[in-house]
Amino acid sequence: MLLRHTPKEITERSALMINPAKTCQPIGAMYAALGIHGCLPHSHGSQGCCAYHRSALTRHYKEPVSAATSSFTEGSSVFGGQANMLQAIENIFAVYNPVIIAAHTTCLSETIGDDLKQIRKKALTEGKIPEGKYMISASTPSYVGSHVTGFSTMVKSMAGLAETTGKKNGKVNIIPG
Amino acid sequence: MATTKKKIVQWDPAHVKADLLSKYPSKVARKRSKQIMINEALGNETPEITANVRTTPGIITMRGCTYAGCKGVIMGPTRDIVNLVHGPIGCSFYAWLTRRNQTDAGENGENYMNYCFSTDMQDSDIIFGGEKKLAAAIQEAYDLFHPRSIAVFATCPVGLIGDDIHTVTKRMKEKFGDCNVYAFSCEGYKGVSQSAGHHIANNQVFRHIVGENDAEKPGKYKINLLGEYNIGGDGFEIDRIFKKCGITNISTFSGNSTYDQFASAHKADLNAVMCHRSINYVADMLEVKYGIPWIKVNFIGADATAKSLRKIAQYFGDQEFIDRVEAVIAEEMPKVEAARAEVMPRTSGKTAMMFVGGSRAHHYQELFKEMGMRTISAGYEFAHRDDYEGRQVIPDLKVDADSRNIEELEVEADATRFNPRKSAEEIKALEDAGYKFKHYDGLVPDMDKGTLIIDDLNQYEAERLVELMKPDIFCAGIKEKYSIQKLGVPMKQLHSYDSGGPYAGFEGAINFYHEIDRLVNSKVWSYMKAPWQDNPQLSATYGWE
Ligand code: SF4
Ligand code: SF4
Repeated sequence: MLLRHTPKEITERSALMINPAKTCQPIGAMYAALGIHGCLPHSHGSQGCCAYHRSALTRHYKEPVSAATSSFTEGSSVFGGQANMLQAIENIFAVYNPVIIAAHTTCLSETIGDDLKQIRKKALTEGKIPEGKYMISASTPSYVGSHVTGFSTMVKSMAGLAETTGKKNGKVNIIPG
Repeated sequence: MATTKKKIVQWDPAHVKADLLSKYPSKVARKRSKQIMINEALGNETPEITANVRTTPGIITMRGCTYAGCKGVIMGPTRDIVNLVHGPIGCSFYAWLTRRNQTDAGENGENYMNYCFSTDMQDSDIIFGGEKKLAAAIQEAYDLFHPRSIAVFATCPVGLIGDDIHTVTKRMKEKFGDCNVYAFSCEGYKGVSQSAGHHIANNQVFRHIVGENDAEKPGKYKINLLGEYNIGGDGFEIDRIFKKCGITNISTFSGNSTYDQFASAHKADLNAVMCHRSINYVADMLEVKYGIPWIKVNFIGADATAKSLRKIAQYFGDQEFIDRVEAVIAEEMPKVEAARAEVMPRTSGKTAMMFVGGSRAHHYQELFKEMGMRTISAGYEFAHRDDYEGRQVIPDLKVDADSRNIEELEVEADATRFNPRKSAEEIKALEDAGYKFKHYDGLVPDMDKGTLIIDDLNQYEAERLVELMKPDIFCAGIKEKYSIQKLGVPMKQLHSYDSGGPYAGFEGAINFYHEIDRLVNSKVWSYMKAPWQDNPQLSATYGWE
């Protein structure tokens, strides 16, 4: 009854996606980042993606889901979002003071080719990331893969934060996917 | 009757404002200070608020994007249009049945609202362009469903790679002949909030659909209801009342609507505007092109509903109609008053805060007032200055870079179909009798002095406000819900109504009284104490220590 227009016969479609069982990469990245204590996920793009991801996760878990956004405007979409990201980093540490920012890209920032790693370097040299605070990033274009890809990309960035001490301590990490 | 301990919370608005701003870097503080307004008389002037400006990056805003306003809000509630989102999968996925706008699929059962359509762009489409895929997707949708109409929505990447969606849809429309296909350039980076998306959506509806059906519509008192989205069945309740009064609703923009309703909108004799923000320009265009006057109405609140019905009756002016409307009000009000009297001892004196949309933060104050509750702070998520201060400020509104890229349609009187529904003398006679056309005073005059009016509230400010002003209830959207509830304050979603509604009209008011009574008097909130509220310093040891 609900989907009463669904035809009985199966037709091959090449272009039209109907009722997908997947969604986009950034929500996976945001979700992974929420698991780190003291971490604020950040969506580098226009504010709509971030609002949608937060709403979807909140609805599902019935828990608050906080994440910041670079709030792109038309100008940033043309000239690049570096200025927005740098400003965001400053504001995030001033207002929310997380230990770590876990930033991911969106279709928009990927399409214009923003490089979060390079922006992070710039933020570091400009002293925008305070002592003892961190920022990690993941490149999560939604026109590749799905939310599952986004989750693993972000987890990979987290692992990148680890430094080897050269000594074994007899412990293992379990990373559920 | 439950005995409620009266909470005395003392706060000084200037202090609250200073507190909210103290955390920000100075540049952000300067900007926010213009968006946080203490409602007070300054000599002869009313204070001015800054609205419809960019959200500062990094600040956790409640706002969404232009696409959300276009696809989600305006086009989402129309059941017989196939809404095809051109872009990567996410944007369409998140706008899939997430707004609780209800519809009655009617006799033919045509309803695509519960489907999610997307072109699911892949990297090759981003690199080589997605026009071919879009054309193929439109064709597939047409072959599968044969709908009256297919609407295409652009998401951010589409604008950047330069897909010409308007040419594609035009070609497909010509090819099909019996299916109207058009597109919306509603990329999320345009404008500063959902508001730009409302505008883009309405412009295209006006350009491509309104006026397509010239068939006469039956009915004596024909109106359009603009800016009502049938969340939780609000539109059903309003339509029930209209029917009882003998009012024919030609089209609702866009709750429980169909393609044909939009196509016939020019057949109405009056436009009644609910949500001023999302649709006032459509009312203006319908007046210029077809000669239909518009008035502001509000069906949130039983008294407001009665007032709006009287306003509609007065416009048409027939005594018989006026009497019938009065009879309906007289029949409906006793139930409402009984419900009000029942909750009043428990609700009066309680306080509320609401931060939603472009009109609800104003309209819902009526309902709270009817229950004896005060609104101590309110604001819109994406409204403009005229929604705060009234339409008289429109000529002074600055057009900035973000609003300049949103198209303004130039319309003129239709050569054959322009027909002023009232002569200049009739309009004047009504106005002399105190009747107001095209009039909206905004939210500010209806709020008490010393209250705080805050535009584009963000998460940090929301939590701080609750801590400082301790309202009995806080109203916003899903993203805010649980962080507020964790502070021990009940939270009501006024975008989607949680799982409740309708709250419009007479029956809706009764629903709302009961629901709010339950929320503000529930004991559960006083048990909500986080461990750190007793012991700010938590100490613990690890198991292995
Ligand atoms: S633009 Fe991309 S990242 Fe944003 S919601 Fe759409 S699919 Fe997801
Ligand atoms: S990609 Fe753009 S259109 Fe899609 S949700 Fe994000 S901001 Fe909105």
